[in-house]
Amino acid sequence: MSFFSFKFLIFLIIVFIIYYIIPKRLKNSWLLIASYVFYASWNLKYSAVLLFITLISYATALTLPRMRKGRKRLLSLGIAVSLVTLCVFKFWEFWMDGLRTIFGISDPATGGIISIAAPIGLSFFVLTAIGYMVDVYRGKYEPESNCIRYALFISFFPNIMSGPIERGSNLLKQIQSDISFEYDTVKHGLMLMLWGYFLKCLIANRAAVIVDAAFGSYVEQTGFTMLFAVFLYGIQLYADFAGYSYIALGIAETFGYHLIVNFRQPYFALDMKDFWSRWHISLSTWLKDYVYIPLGGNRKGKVRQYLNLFITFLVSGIWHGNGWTYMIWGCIHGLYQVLERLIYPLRKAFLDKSHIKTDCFSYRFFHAIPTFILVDFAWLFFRSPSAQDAVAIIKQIAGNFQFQSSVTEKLFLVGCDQRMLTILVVELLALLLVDLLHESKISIMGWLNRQNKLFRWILYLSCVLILLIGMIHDYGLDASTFIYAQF
Amino acid sequence: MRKFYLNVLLFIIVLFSVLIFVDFLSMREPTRTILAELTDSTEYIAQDRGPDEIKPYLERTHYPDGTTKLIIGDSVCRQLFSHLQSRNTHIAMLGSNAGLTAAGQYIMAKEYLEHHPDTTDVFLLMLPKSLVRTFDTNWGYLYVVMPFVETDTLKYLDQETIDCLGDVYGKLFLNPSVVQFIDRSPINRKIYLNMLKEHSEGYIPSNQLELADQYVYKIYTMCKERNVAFHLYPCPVSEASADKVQALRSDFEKSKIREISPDYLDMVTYYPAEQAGDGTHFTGKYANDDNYDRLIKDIYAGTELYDMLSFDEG
Repeated sequence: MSFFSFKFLIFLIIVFIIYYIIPKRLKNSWLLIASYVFYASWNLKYSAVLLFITLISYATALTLPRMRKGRKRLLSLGIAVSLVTLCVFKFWEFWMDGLRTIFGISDPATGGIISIAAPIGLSFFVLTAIGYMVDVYRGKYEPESNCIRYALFISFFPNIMSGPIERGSNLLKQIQSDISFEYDTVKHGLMLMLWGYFLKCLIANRAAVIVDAAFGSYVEQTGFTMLFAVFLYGIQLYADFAGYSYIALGIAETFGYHLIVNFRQPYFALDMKDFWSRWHISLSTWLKDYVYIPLGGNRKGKVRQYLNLFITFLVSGIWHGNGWTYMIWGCIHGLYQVLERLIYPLRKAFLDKSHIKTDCFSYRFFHAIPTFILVDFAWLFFRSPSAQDAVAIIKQIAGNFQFQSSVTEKLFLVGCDQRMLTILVVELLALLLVDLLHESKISIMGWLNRQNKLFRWILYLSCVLILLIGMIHDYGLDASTFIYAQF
Repeated sequence: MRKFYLNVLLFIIVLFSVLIFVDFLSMREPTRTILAELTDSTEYIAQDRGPDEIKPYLERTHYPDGTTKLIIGDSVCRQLFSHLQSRNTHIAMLGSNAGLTAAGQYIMAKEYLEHHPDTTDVFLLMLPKSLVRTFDTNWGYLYVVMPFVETDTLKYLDQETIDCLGDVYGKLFLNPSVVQFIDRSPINRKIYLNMLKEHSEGYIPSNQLELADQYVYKIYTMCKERNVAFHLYPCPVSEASADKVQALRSDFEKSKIREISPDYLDMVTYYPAEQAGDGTHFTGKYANDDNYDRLIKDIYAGTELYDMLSFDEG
């Protein structure tokens, strides 16, 4: 049951209506049932994995405060069981390939490796559970004794699939308190959902057609086309992920819960450290609190700090996917962090001496652009099918640019005709405008609430119509319709 | 809370009213074209596809044109023979599109025979790959359902076939009003046809010639009952498709089509692949009347089809 299906819309309406009808003492149970129904709709068997992680972390955290000795060992056990579960599924193909190579065990039907689909959201709810156990161990808060509340915290359907990775101090705390209907919160939630659908359905999906077409046939493309595709991939990834996050945040708000904000205008970042305080915030803060700091953080000297940073980003890469490209991506970001810290004293000295203003548009602009370029370069590895392909694409960009022919014909072959380009530019300008307003701490909802109802409604209707027209426009669009349009 | 539900309900009512109005506009010019542009649905208002392509042929089956022979078949049949219509006024040349499937060709033949009691011959010319066409999600709705629902002729198919169409395309979408609703609006057409591709697999027959067996045989028995001679011939096939034709042989040997036209597969004439740019139709310098005349003379010489044709102007 995807967020983008009619079934989900019906599901959400039913859950919402019943949620606000039933007594307060039943609300958590109702949401828990709804969350498991949502999860089971993807794969019923994997609900058992979700339940398993929930029970392990619940039992571990509940037992920890009662133990005088062996707390660390119990915590380690809880974390190990969770991580092993994650690794078994995440690196399943790796294990199966090993079994086939060493023992000859293979799928009897195909002769290939025995493959299964990983439980959806596993990477997210395992981190949530681990974070909770560690927080309880550290005494940040008392463990939740009510199993329903705790199970809801782990399985909450808006964020179980792709985050944000929640914390006990945020979501669990809200689950423990009484939630009542708040008109403005629900309205804000619906607006967040609308914005999320715009990002995902109109920008991300449209960009994906071009990016997939280009990366799928990069050997035949010019350097400019591939450069454009890499740029667009950065946009696609942001729109896709942030879009999903906004939908999750919006849905949660309709039930009165405020999830962690996951994106904060990441491409306005002034340097790599700033980027990671704006991109996938729930993951980067999780890694900081549960990997970087336990490794020693910056408390054990510069060399150790750099090593810890590198390891943290390597872990991030591995977490993102089972493949060398993700590891390379993580390493690149680790390298960025280390180099940035190495040159920081020089940079600071230069800025101090030259009296360059750092709180003006020009400074921000001329720092955001190179930061975006560095981030986008790393995205190339994230997207490429293999490291060799990524290197080949870089060579393509450097050695076969062909700007003129790209603009007149090649871009069309990856689905980017003048019409598509115009639509994309308009949508990106809309995204830029909203991000600029947010960066300037201007509340769009606040401004809207000050307008007359008729104006607001016309605006809401227009937004919904634009979204629907855009979705119909792109319905049935895929890379092959452009690659093969020439045949 | 009540205020929220009331506002949401009112918003939904207003939104649906606007959507219905926009949909209404998408069925009428000039807003039809404007909305089609906005939603990238212009290819769905193409006049040469689906019901707009087939209905003129169906209408011609009703013409009191004095013809006594009928040629029906796929688009290759149309390509080869349509230029001869003016020189053969005793023949109704209604080759159309493989998308009709054998079921649609049956309706065409039935309508013609109903309105032309003096018919002596019916010729069905189809590529082997057209014979195996079934109710798919690409063209089936446009060619098998829409034209025949709009002309109230779908009822001539067997109930089992109509039920099958209902399973593939949705029973609701066989309703004449719904078909009209989809036909007149390119937006509705785009939404429905793309939804169909996502949610339906099309009809998967038990063997490749299942549908052809059923309806080609029905054409044959219908002709027999009226003392009309029925002839089934293959259209010329590109060499590139030779393997696919041979792959049909085992199903063909067991089929009813073999009883009607035992030499159908053996009669297939192959031409060089470069003559068919799309792998099916003659293109480029091979797409001209002189070449078609030459091909007909070469391929169908000695057949009843050839004997009744006149190639002379005037």
